[in-house]
Formats: sequence, structure tokens, C-alpha cells
Amino acid sequence: MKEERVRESYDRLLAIRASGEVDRTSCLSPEALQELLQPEISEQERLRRIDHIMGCPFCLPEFELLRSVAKAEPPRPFPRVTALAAALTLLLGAALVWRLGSPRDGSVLRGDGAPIAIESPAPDARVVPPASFVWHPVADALQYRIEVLTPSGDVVWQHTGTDTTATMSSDTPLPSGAEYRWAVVAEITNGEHVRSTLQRFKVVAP
Amino acid sequence: MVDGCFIAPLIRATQAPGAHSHSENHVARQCGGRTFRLVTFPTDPESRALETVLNRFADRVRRVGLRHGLAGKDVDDLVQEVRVRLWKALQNGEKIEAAPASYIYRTAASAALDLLRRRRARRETPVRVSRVTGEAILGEAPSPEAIMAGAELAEQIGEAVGHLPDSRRSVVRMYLAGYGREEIADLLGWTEAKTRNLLYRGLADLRDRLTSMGIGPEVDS
Repeated sequence: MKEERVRESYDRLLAIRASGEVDRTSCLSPEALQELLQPEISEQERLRRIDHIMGCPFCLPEFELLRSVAKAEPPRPFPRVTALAAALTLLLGAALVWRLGSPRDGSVLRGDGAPIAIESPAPDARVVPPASFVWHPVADALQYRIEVLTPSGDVVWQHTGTDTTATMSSDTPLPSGAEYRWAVVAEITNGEHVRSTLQRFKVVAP
Repeated sequence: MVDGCFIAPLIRATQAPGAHSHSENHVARQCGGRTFRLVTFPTDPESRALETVLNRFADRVRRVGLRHGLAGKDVDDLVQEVRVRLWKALQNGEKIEAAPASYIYRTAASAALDLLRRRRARRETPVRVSRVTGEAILGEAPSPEAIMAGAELAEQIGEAVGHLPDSRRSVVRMYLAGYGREEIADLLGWTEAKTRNLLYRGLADLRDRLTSMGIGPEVDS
């Protein structure tokens, strides 16, 4: 059976469930639906709740309403003083790159425009979990995707959202002393992508 | 809800202390036997500021909602909720215009929760827009013919999905409900590679299960 046909049949199943007597005793509460938009929830619980939502014609549109509001929030405006400091840091960074020439290890992720400016953690910072990341907003960005990688390039954590900050979920353990790389990619309204340079940080015990 | 009844809290809110009279550009609406005036083209600074903020908010939610299969009515109801809350919380147009976006969205998140609670209390059936067909499923009973055509197959697929292992079942359900791989990865907090892997395995499991139930692959005509 073709996937398309299976999808149509599943869609029909939801319609059939919606047409029967409405019994929502096993449904998730609106609060439980909204909690799914937060990263703190465990993977097991997340799977359990999503499993119900995706099979429930009533919870599904409710969840999408809450999700649409959360996704629609524009990135927070950047404070002017911090922006000035960041611009100065960028200027210094650019001067340093100009002096040292192009990076030899190829660690810069190339984008379609100027790279996204990183606010924190600073390059090679020592980070106490949970690691939080902050970067500058990009004009016309639809959403940002952040990835945390091991030195060998394996993705250990990934998050997509409209905010210019992200905090790693506690589900991803970061062993003390380990080194990681991270980068953020902005998806722009015209379909292009803007990336940050690859950053490094080291995990330290609290 | 009687058509037009949603305007009642708005009208009460606009007549709250601090709000100016809206004596122009209005239409009369009936609700529960009473007549309310609905301001259609607000001209005072407070209303203009509020409408600017709300239009900006509604545009963004509508745009995102379109991608998420959200019904237009849901956005309208939500904007109305947010409008009432903003009128109550903010004192004048200057403050409304200056309110940070994060405040509006916090208000909207809380308003959306209340909206869902109220709808559930009233036993209203939510409108689902199918991501697969793009059609709004109104929760009304389909015709007996429509139910019969393919209903058995739909139930069999539901049963087969229900037997998949936990970690793969949610991914497959999302995929069948019309979610893309990136969206699934975002919702589950997984990497794209992990999502692709589990979805691939889950769909393979589903195919095997359907085959064992006698629902074999289709041959292209």
C-alpha cells in the first residue's frame, strides 16, 4: 500500500473518531498540551503525550492552537547597550580574522549572508549545565535551528524555535570536562539560510 | 455560541473606565436578545493602538497557524480573547503601543489556555484542518457512505499503528497526520538523523504489519 493511501486512511480514521460520541475522559488537559512546548519534559512523557495527540481529533487542533501562538512570537529585541558591545566584539573579531587570515580548520559554517553574531557562551567558555545559548536576531528570520555537536561532529542536541535563546534539555547529559561545538542557523523568509560560526565550549561541574 | 455574542465582552471592555466613547463607526449586533454596538472602524488613539498591536499579532499567528493546519476561526477567537485582556490590563493607547511583544505573547498563551478550557466546558468540538487533504473537519458526522468507504481500512491502519513500539509509534503517527520530518524532530527534541532513522524503521514496521494483516502493497497502474 502506498504511503499516500495510508496517510489518507489515517486522516479518515481521525475524522471517524471525531464523528462519534465525544468522550474526552482520556484527553490531555490544556496545561498538559502546553507543557509539551517546553523542553523540560522527559522524552518518555513527551512520546506518551504526542502519541495521544496525534491519534485524537480533538486534542490535535487544540495543541496546534497553543503551538501556533508559541511559534509566532518574534525573537526578542536586543538591548541597545548589549548590541553596541556585541558590535564592538564583532569588529574586534573581524580585525583578528583579517590578521590571522582564513580559518585553517574549516570550522566556519558558510551561510548566504553575514554570520549570526553570538552573544553567549563566549568562544571556548566553560559552561555549567544546563547550557544556555544566546545569539543576535536576524532580520526576517522565520526560525532558528541550533545544534550542539561533539568534536567528531555527532549531533548531541538540536532545537528549532523562533526565540534567540535556547537552553539544553536535562535529557541530554553533558559530562564534566567534555568539549562541544555549537552553531545556529536562521531560516529566512526568502528561503535562504544564515549561519553562525562554529563555537566551542567546555563543560565544567557546578 | 450565537453569532455576534463574542462581541459582548469587547463592548463591555471598551466601556470600562479609561476607555473613550466609541460613538462613531459602529454597527448593531444582536446577542441573547440584547443589542450591542460593535465598533468596526475605531478612530480614537486607544483603539487604533490596540488594533495595530492586535493586527500585528494576528498576522503572525495566522501565518504560522496556516503552516500548522490551524482553523481561521481559532485565530479569530484567540485575537478576540487577547483584545479583551489587553483592554483590561492596559490603561491607554500609548502603553498599548509600547507593550513589548513578549507581553502580548504571554497574554496570548494564557488566553489560548482559557479559550480551550471554556470550549471544553461547553463541550464544543474543535475544528481540525486536515494536513493531508487541507480540508476542515468540522467534527460533524460524515455521510454513512463516506464512513463505509474505507472505514474498515482506516480502522485496520489505526490498529496496526497502535502495535508499533513506543518510540516509533509517535513518529509514525505524526508523519501520517501530515507532519514533516523537521517538525517531528522539533517537537520531539530529536536530531534530524534520529528522527529519520526511527521514522524509516517505524514505516517499515507498519508495512510489515499491514502485510501480515493481508493489506499488501499497491501496484502502480
